[in-house]
Order: sequence, then C-alpha cells, then structure tokens
Amino acid sequence: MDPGRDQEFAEFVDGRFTALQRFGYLLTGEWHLAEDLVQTALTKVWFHRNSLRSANALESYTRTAMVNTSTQWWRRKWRGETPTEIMPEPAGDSPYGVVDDRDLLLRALATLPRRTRATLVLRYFEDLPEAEIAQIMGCSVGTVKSNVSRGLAKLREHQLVAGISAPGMKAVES
Amino acid sequence: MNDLQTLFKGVVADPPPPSEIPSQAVFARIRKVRRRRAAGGAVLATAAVAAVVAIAGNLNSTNSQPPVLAPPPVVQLPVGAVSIEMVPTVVGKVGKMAVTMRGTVRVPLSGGDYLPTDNSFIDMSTGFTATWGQGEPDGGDGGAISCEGSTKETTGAVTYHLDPHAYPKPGTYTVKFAVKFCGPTGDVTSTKSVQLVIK
Repeated sequence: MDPGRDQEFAEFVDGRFTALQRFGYLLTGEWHLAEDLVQTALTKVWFHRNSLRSANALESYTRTAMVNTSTQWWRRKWRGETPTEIMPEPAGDSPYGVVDDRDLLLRALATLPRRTRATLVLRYFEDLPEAEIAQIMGCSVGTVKSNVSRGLAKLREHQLVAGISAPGMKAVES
Repeated sequence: MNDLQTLFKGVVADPPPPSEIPSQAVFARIRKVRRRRAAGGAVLATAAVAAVVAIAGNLNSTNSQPPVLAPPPVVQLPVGAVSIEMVPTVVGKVGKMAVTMRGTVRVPLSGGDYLPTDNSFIDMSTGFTATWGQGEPDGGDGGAISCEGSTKETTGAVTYHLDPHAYPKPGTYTVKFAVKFCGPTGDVTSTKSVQLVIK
C-alpha cells in the first residue's frame, strides 16, 4: 500500500461517508445496508484507484460502484416474511406523520426496479444532470430520461407522492 | 403538492452514526479481500503443482504419450436449470451449508436493461428458498428483475453459503434448497436436498 495515497483515500472516506450513506439509504431503504453498501463500494474503488483519472473522480466513481452494487446485490433476504407488491392504505392522520411519510416514500421507492430507483435518486436527490447520470449508470441519456419518466409515473401511483412535483417534469395535480 | 427533492432530503435527514470509523472499516475490508485473493492464488499454485506432478508420474520414458484423461461426464441441462451441489458442515448443533450452482441461464432484465454478467453468477438468480427441516425457512429474491423478454444467455457457477442454522435438538433433518433462474419461457426452478445429522 502507498501510505500517502491511502491517507488521501482515508480522508475521502471519513469526509464523505455520511453523504454517501444518505445516498445508499435511498438506494437500499435500510441504514445498516446503506453502511454496508458504502463500505463495499469503497473497497471496490480502492482496488481500482489506479485507473481513476483524478482525485475528483473518486466520488463519482464511488457513486457508480454503489449504484452497480445495489442493483446487482443479492441482499433482499427474508426469513418467514411474505413480500407484497400492494402497500396497505395509511391509517390516516397520525402524530407520527413525518415518520409515516418517510416510510411511505421508502415503500413507494421499493416498488421500483432498482436501476429506475437509482436514476430517480441521482436525478432528484443528488441533483445530477442527465448526462452525468448516464455516465454513472452506463446507459444513454435517452434511457435516463425514460427511467425518470417511468419512475415518476410509478411513484405517483402512491398516495403520498400522487401530486409530486419534480423539476423538468410535468406535475400532476392530486 | 410535494416536491420530490424535499421528500428525499426529509427521508435522509437523520442518518445514524457509522458503527465504526468509516476509513478503518473500509481498510479492514480491503485487507480481508487482499488476504482472500492471496489465499486463492496459493490454492491455484498448489493445484497447478499437483497437476504437473500427477501428469509427470504417468510419463514412463521419453517416448511416453501424454496420459489420456477421460472427459468428465457431461450432463446437458436445459437453459435456466442449474446443477446444485450441497456440502453441509455441522458444528455442535449448528448446521452450515455451501451450495454450488452451475449452468447456463438467460440473463434477467432490470428496468429494461440486462443485468451485467461480469459479477457473481448468483446475481442472475430471481430467488431462492432454503428449508432446514426445522424452524424458519431462509431465502432471498433477486429484487425487481424479470426474465420476460430475455434472449441473452450466460454460463456460470457460484458457491453460496446459507446463513447457519441452529437446531434445538439432535436428529436427522432434510435440508431443501430451491433456486430460480431465467429460462426461455420464464423462471426455471432447480432443487436439491440433503440430510443433516445433528448429534
């Protein structure tokens, strides 16, 4: 190992971990999986660090590794649970409304194909332009656009996000 | 009307602190991968030496012909069906199972795109279930992937380790494993079972 480069990499990991963890949470829906995902992706990146064009590419490369890992990951393990595609109706007004909303959004996201979900997160959470998303996802800009469109349409089927607005997309009144 | 970006930010507003110092955790993983790769290289080197010794032992003189090795029996499975080998180990009352799957399958699609085939063969599966003959079953699904419309094939193998299972009492238990991969007309389920003796 090169101590200088390892130190630089360690600083990147410690400095950007929380931001990457947030991104990972939106990809996986679980904090502990998000942490695992970030660590897995960073480990992969370390082994390919010599092929990086610049230190600035590190974060972009890490996000690519996270997206690829999460879309391929075989982690949706279950034990005695019955998965369902139909979400139960929310119980109505609740003092825990904010928490419920978060839960509903995550459950709505979970119904999306993983690459569509990743595309939406990159577009609307990371606020990346379509060309950069295409680079991260390894697809064309056209595919990014159609994934965003399909993903938003699917999200709008759910009560919480029925009237959702998103920059660059036509909003649907709830 | 909701704004998607605001919703996303709300969802991730309170991340828990990392369970370990991130850089230390990542470098621990890196060291582990390096050790595993080094061990893998050593195994390959040992196997290569053993092969050379075995072949050399069959050469009696400079006129000897190379040994003719019988080809392994070929079992042609249909696309989507995989051969399954289960190797159990028992430690006390805990059963462990290494499941090796190999075969040719159709590549599933996710969001209209084929999954990359340069990762683990297990990523090609659309799900598995494992029952230990007692207690809760184990299992997993392939996520939001689909066999529909796939025409691309890939051949591969993988050894997957089930989560260990603790038995409450001695006995002979049948462990069943079923896994689904994509075939020409959809999911194809392959199954295998073995007996596990808990003393």
